[in-house]
Amino acid sequence: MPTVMITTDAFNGFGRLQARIKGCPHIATAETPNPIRNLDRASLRQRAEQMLETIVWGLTASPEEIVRRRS
Amino acid sequence: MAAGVQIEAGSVAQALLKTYEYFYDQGWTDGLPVVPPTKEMVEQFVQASGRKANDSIAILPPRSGRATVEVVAINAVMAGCRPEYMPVVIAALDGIADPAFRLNVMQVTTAPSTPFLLINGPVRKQLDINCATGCLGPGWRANATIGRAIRLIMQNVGGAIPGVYSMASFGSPLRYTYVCGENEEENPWTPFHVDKGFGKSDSAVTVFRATNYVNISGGMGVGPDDILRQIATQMPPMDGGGRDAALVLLGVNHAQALHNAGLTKRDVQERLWERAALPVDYFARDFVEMEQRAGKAGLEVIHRTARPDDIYVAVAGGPGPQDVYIAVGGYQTRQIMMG
Repeated sequence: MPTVMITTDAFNGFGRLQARIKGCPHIATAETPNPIRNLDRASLRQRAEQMLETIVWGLTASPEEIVRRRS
Repeated sequence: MAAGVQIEAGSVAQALLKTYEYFYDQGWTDGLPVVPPTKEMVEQFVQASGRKANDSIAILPPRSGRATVEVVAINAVMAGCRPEYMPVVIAALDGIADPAFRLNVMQVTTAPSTPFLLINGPVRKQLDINCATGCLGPGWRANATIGRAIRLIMQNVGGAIPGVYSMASFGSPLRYTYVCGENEEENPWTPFHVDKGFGKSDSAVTVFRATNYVNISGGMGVGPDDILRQIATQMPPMDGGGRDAALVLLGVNHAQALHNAGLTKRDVQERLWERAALPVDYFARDFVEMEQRAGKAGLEVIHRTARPDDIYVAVAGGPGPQDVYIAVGGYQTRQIMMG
């Protein structure tokens, strides 16, 4: 199933370890600067929009392409 | 862990120091010195467990590490346990590995939650587990090392390595060890494990998902109302993910005073629940909405827990006007099968 991990930069390494444990070491990752909990809805939406390109790429690229880019 | 590590040294002191340095460099410790888990000692601990070395006790997240009896023994030796502590460590481990305990969250979250072990039954005396004066402090080998063994297993088997998998922003000193026995001898009501369906002559360990330690000094209060008000007002509503509870360890003097005043344990739960509440306008709006969704808040007041049942009461510690409140999540109780 096409999947993209959305994470803040502070937790990216942790997320990648988790993904590796689950058998997805090359999962596509959309990253935004930490923290996000303090953002209002408009700011959060802006962050989401900034990640959209990566998310669409991760959901549509071939597994080989994702592995190539993540390696 | 690597098998068959050999450490050469010219003296016992040097061997111990080299072991500490090596184990620390490998990331196998909690930062404190460890006892070298020699083959002979590990075998002795396995034997004391009454189980086979390769018996599987639990699979621990996030690394999906398998805690066999032998692996438990290695960590128990390192923690400084005695062999006869093994059944307690194994029972506690079985409890924290229960999916309902949500160890998968505890191991990785930014919050500082950690298992708190409440031990009941004859095993407390057999192993000299402190349940009276100083029971949550230093000085008792069983209290210090059983909890430490659990932490080492969570780290070495489950992979809760600080800053790698464990993302606890601050961590907690409670993560070194957090263990006491219930002071059943001075508890005027039924022991905690009996309330959970075990016999008084059974030994049991209850593992709580704990996040804090609050010692409540009793002040000048002498009557039951003053005692309970003093405790309740130091148990404000808090962000526990909406499903949290509270464990109150009543000191022996207060437990006896409340009992002498005719209160049952249920009365204590209900009165604490009524009084551990604050107006909603004290709190942030998002927090109030979360607590309302969790059933802990109405339009005017937020309670510490959703129901009186979610305030657990046990008795511990020595004489003095002191009580302890621990914010807890779920708990699991397991019988301790002593050989």
